[in-house]
Amino acid sequence: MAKSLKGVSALSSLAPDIAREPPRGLEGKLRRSVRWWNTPAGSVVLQVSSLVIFLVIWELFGRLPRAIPIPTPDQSLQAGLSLSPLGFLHDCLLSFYRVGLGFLIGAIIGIPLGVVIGYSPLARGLLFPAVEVLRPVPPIAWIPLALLFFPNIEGMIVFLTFYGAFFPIVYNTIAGMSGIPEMYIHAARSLGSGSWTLFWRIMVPAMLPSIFTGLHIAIGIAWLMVVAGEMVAVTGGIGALTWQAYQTTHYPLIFVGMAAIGVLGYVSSQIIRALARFVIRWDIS
Amino acid sequence: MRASRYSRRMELSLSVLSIGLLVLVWQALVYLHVYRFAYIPSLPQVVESAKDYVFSSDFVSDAIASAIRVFVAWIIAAVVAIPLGLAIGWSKTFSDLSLPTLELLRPIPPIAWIPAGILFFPNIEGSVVFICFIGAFFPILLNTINGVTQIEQTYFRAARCLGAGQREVFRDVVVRGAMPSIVVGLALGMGIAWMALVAAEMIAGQYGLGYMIWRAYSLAQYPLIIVGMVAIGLIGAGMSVCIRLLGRKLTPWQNR
Repeated sequence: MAKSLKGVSALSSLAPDIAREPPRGLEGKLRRSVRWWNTPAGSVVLQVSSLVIFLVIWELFGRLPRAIPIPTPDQSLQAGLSLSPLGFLHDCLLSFYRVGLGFLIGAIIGIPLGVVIGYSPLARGLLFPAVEVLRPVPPIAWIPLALLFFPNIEGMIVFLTFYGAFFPIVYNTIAGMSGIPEMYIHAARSLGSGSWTLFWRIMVPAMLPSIFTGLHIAIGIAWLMVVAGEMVAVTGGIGALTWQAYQTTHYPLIFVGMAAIGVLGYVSSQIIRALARFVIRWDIS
Repeated sequence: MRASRYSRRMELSLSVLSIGLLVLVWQALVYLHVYRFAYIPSLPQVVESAKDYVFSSDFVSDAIASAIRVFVAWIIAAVVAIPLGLAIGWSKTFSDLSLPTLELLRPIPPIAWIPAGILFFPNIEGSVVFICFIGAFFPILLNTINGVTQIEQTYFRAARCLGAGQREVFRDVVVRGAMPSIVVGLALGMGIAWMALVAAEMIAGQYGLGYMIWRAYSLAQYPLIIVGMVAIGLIGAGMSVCIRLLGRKLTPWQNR
């Protein structure tokens, strides 16, 4: 309804030579809704100008008279180009590997644990309170203990990414498990499915969307943790690059590091999203 | 779904057993020197140092410093992000103008802002608050936008039909309709701000609970690390309870 009305008014605005009454009331509102910035092309123009405005503001901040001026976009770009591509790639891949490993361990432990807690009331009673009691302590607060415990930095950073990824995965798996409508289970049972079929054909597909929600949150937290771990430990990786840029006063490089962290985080969350779309083909969203 | 088979009492005793087992496993690993667990402080050591620390003025000043930083950052984030999110959710034009930049900045985790935050602000206090602000900002913003865009179109039409002007629609449909989602964002934002605070204090702080656990590590007062972690966890949990109560006040029509 609204669409067709909009269509009509769009057409009439293409024919301005036809004598019309001045727009008023509802007609006026509909006409207003097809000004140039509401067209698809206008929308693109606005979106591009958003980024341009962002760069201009950044540039202006860089020109503020300060004791240590904030690097401008141009200086940051120069700093990025002056990096050795191989070293930079190595740092990126190292962080990516640490995130991936911790995330994978988190999923391998977290998903079965969530399934068990969601499935058996006894397991829930025995395991869930222990998980619940650890949860309010932010994973970042584990850094000193992790430094103390692990003989090498590599183990410590992977532990941190694992620990960050673990909780969202467990919680969303439990939520997925306990969110399965009782009806599905009754229906499958009355159609004669055994426990094996019930689990793999009914429960697993029903909780997969929730598990992927958990994985999506987890990869974000794993990135946060890897950056924190690398900033503390300073043994390679993109977080270390960013922190060292600050310490060695190569300030423009800070923004290169941040941009790289943002891109890598974005890419990994898109990978999870693509995986979810592939695995959960039946889900329209 | 099947948990109702157990009584509350049974559940409680299982919880006690569960947490007891966790502590027991920790103690066993420490005393039996499994792998490198001998480096981890044991429960009696932790209790011992907790007694000293909790009743000292250090604890009060650290806790208050951390709480104020995170609270100020959270308030600023809410004041900026809620109106921004409402505007983005409501107006396509405003969304086109601001969302691309925000989407560009969003994947950068708050921790990655630490060096830039230190660079931006002349004092540590400002940079710590800024980093917590970044942490709280995006969850609040995204949940506000989501809250507005998920309001049913029928509500807008109904309000319009009943003669509501732009202002009334904004106040009674947009703000109210988005409120449950905003409350979720506020709670998430506080959680992430608290986490960012610990990181910022650890890397850049001069006092506060995050700095305290880092100092305990550098000075080899290892039991104090766990005391600090427990304090951070308890205060964080307390804050999320407060926000849940605030949320109930803000959305009284939601029956829980």
